[in-house]
Amino acid sequence: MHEEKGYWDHFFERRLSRRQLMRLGALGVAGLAAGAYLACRGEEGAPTTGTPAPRAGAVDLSKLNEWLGPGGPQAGQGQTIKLGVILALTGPGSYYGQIMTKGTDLGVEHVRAAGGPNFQVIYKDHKSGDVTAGATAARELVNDGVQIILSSYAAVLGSILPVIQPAKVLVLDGGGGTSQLWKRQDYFWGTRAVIPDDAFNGVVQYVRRKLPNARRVANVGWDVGPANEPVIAYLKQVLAANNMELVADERVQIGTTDYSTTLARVRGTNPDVILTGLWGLDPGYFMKQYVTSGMKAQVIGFEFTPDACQVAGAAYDQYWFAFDYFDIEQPFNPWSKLFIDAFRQKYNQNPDFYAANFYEKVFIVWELVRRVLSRNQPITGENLQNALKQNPTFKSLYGGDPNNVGTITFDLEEHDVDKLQVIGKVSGCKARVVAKMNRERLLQVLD
Amino acid sequence: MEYRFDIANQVLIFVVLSLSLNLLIGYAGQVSLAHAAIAGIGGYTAAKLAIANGMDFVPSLVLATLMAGAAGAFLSVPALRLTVQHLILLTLAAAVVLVTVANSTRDLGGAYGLVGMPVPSIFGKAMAKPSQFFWLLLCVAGICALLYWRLAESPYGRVLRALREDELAARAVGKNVFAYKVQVFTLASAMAGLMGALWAYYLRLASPVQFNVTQSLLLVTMVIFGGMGSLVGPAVGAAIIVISSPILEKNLDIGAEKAALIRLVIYGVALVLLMRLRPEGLIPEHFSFRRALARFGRPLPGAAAAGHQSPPPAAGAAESPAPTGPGQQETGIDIATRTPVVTVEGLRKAFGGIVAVDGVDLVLRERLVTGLVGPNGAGKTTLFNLLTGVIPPDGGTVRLKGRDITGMTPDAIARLGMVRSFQDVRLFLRMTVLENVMLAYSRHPGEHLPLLLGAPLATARAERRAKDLALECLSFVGLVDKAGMLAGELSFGEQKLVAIARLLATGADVLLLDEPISGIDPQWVDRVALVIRALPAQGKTVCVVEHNLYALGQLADHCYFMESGRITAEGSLQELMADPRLIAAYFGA
Amino acid sequence: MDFRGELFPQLFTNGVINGSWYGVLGLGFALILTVTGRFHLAYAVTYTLAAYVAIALSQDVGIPLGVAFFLAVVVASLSGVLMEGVVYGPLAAGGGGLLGIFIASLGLTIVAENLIRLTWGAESASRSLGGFPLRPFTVLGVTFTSLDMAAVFTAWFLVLAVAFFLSYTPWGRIINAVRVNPELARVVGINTERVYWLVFAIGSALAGVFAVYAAIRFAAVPDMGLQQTLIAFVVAFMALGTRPVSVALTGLALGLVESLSGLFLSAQWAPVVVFGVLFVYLALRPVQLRLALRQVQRLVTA
Repeated sequence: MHEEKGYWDHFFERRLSRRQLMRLGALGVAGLAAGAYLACRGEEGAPTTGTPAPRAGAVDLSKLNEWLGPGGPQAGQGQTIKLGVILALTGPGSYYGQIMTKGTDLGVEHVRAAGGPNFQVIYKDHKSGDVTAGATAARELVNDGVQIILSSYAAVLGSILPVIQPAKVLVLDGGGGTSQLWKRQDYFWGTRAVIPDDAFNGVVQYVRRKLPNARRVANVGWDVGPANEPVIAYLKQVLAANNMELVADERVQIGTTDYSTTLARVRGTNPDVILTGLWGLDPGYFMKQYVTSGMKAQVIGFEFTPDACQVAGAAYDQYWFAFDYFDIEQPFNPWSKLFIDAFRQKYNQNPDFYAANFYEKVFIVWELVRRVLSRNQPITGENLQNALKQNPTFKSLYGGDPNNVGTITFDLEEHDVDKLQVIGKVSGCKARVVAKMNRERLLQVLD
Repeated sequence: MEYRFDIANQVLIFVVLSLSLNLLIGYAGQVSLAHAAIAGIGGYTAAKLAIANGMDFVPSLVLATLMAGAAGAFLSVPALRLTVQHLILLTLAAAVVLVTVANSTRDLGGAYGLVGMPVPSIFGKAMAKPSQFFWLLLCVAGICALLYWRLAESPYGRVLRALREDELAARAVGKNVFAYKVQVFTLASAMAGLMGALWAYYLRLASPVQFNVTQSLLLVTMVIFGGMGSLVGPAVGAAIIVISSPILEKNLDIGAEKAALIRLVIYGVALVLLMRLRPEGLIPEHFSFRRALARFGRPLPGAAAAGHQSPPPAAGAAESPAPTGPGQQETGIDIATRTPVVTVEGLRKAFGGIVAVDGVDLVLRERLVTGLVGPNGAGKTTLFNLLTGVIPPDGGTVRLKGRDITGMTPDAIARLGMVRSFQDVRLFLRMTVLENVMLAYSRHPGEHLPLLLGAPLATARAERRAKDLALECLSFVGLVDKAGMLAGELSFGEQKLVAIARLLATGADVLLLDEPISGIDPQWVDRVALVIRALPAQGKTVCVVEHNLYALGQLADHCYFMESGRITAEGSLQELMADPRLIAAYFGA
Repeated sequence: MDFRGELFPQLFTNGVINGSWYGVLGLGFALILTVTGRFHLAYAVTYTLAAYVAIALSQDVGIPLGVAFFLAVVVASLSGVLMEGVVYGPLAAGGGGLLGIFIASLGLTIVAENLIRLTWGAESASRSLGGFPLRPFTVLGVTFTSLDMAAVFTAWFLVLAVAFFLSYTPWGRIINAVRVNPELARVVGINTERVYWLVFAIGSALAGVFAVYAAIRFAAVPDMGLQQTLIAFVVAFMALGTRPVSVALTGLALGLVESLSGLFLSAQWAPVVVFGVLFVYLALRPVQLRLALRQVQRLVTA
């Protein structure tokens, strides 16, 4: 090949003449300008860092005070409070980031319109589950004096906790919940089901009804380190209690697109059912390859998002899923309906339960702020958490009935909530609910 | 305020990482794409020990440093004989393997990593906040930087740079190149491991993404962008790259994730432009403010300045201490009375089917200039290569002062007292003439790590002696006034003289000169010949391969004729050239 | 859990499928490397760009898949030529050494990957290419799709086409001449720069073909190119000789090794196998091992 001796020649021959320096400078400036231009252009889809101006619209916000308490100075009106939000803004889970941002922004807008504080939202990116990015984001927020953080991906797979706990910053996770491993953590509370664990009982019972001959269950899931084991242990327990067994447990990296080897290995175990602990776009990639793998097992996942469905296309029609679902067609309670209408009006798209969770969390934070102010205390994470522990029940978009707003209650020991979950099936990328359940058992079968 | 400390901490960590990588890439010329992975070994070791074994902060740092250093040493062994491309690939492969193992091993946390390291504390003080961490980091970074500086701007660093320039030439003046490679890999890796561990403690976790191939590439970017081979360039590069992201974020109000991406785009563009316009980076290797200001605005210095000068009067050689000028050329010398210094018997070498050297016997006698003539392709350079250990022979022996040196390495043979020059000179072009010759000073304590660090006074003394010796050798060849110039700026003839000075400075008794006169301006030929003729008076035994028969006639006391790999005649040059068959072989070939 | 009986044929088939296109990628990369000497890390850019262009044309603009495929390959080819013409060529002419070109290539890769992230990173939708009828076939317990069959045939067809081109056409012979002795070729009057463009065009087109295939079979992600380029590196370096068929066979072998490692290891370990093989090969090339061991011995004794 080519001679090695000349390798370093190029580096040291040249000295810079004035002309070259100017050229370099000009190019450098051009490059920076291009970069800045791109940055600004890309802003269209980017989350806002300030609070959006309240819009007068067809949605009547006056009911908010009726349901959620009065506004005014004693409720924080006029005060600016920093609110940190750590989301999957880039990467295969960026759908979550986008929709959660929208829910958060809408919540901030509504809180201000209802006479609550000015939440100054600071968005950070954890790059769809990068623990380093998550810890860095948390550190930056803590350095910035933020006392309350809304996070996702189970506080980015636990990596935020060692940062926020010594700093006594309160973290609410409406995206990943606490998951089994990070329950009972000081300063960390989840506002969604413990996934995937909370769905196991209901799913297994549903399978017994619909696939009575199914015995062999395989699991394909994200490798989340120490969080793998407790979940599998619990799954085995539930399966054993229902006369089934776990025949395979394959781990993949977050964001994997090639499942060929995994599918080959699973296939060899002849499963009747395949559970997929995959989120973001990953279930879409999986299903797309699954349907051409020759297997006839039923795939049941714990997530449904429209963009994963677009990736999979018709393959998703064979996919069942189970998780805490927010019903858009038939809103749970009046507040849900207001939220859905406002979301549609502002963003011209349907919200999902992630958006609902984040919207709801902003109001939970408002309630906590109200309590802390009523005691003339400063807004710190410690005081906010104490206020939460004092009374763990909050108004919610979930539950209730067409006349009454629902509530959720945090478990003071476990730091999570027991949410209603559903099992759904897909047809042409539209989901329909076929069963309802809670973490103990199946409640209702609709098909 | 914490925010500023946070940035400062990150800057410190990356500065040390890029300085340690600079030792590898910039000084020693070993391009490694595994640096982040090795830092990861440090990070993971610390994390694992802290989380699983509850080890304290300082002991875990020590172990992390040791593990990483060991990994570097281990990696250096296969790297010893690889070309730059292959080294890039090897380190890349190592990096991918390391990251994937970390990614897939349950006990190392898998893709998720090891999360939840305890808050580090030193002397009883906990370091949870960036401001608390800063002081420790500053101390550690300062020590690393000092160590780096001591290594770089020292005789040791000089050898590293020689290694980068021309490994073979470095070995030819007696440097055990492999030892240096292993050392520099180990040291750079140990430093990286220490910073990796500190970084893990800072983030309170160690994950594969933190130390993956992309991060390694980012480190390489910092080094090259800042100016590899310069003392502070990479530090500047690292600082700029780390600070730019928060600056972009704050000033352009575009969100953290966009700032991070845009910064990378800008640096990618900058890299491409740099390679085109300013490949030496922001701060070039021989940077000095004074010179930069002086040069600013002037045309590029070219070879024109050093081109066709007439040679200075033959100062050195004529003033050589021993008063025996051209006396050797008297035909009265009885060759046989001179003791053999180098004895070669039955030396053989074949490349594939071609026999290059076919059973050669010859003797080099003390304080004589022996000539080796023959047609092109006769195997003369191969013979030199065999004698000096550049290639191993298939058979036969070589003895130096009675000792069998067959098959030894070039640097060992050089240290034993036989050195050679190269047809293509092989000076260290990016180093000054003085440095080139100083490098040849043998047994310099400053070139050995423990002595460099442990015996600074002895090192300084030796450095002075080396400089004196170098100046002496340069004055012998008449080039003292060029001592401060970069070797690459000299004319070819001058370079050949510097090469001879370099050989002199080794103190070796036997000098093998491979075509010292060919390819230089006629006005320099006599100059070089004069120098060579003066060598035996210094006690040197010389063997010269040369095509210029006129010059050889003046130089050589005794000649061998070599054709097709065999010695077919010996005697004085006049005797050889009187043989019509030899003449035919020489010119007809 | 002993499922090796059924597993082996399936993994073997997967290995043949993957290996076929590793071979083609390796061939494209090796062509560029051996003829021009450029350490073309930015091969990753060509690859990723082709995939995203295909998706953008097909999904956003609505062009039929076949046309989008063709256009994407053309774009890939052009991108390679552009990189040579605008970056590498002037760099080399300005005295750029091999390492300088590698660094410039690195710069290009960083720029492209992050530009793609900036432009498409915030949308997670529509990153997969549909429109190809994916029909599964099961033969003797082994399942593969119509796409896989098409890919394997395309791969070997391309390999043979390139081999034929290099051996039997005038331009192919010119390329060989430049590969063997560029200076002599220049002396004889061959415009080596044009030859470089041609080589980049061919090599990049090969990458483009399989990038689109990957987009259909899996998905397009911003860093998809880097992993594949690294594999192409491995194939190019380990291939014995420069004949297209031997490079392709090396790729096939690598694909098989990688896939069959699934007999014992979970899929995550595959890169360890591939790069471990490369590491061992580089470290232990017989000559190097013997010499290196001697040096270590001397280190201790000298």
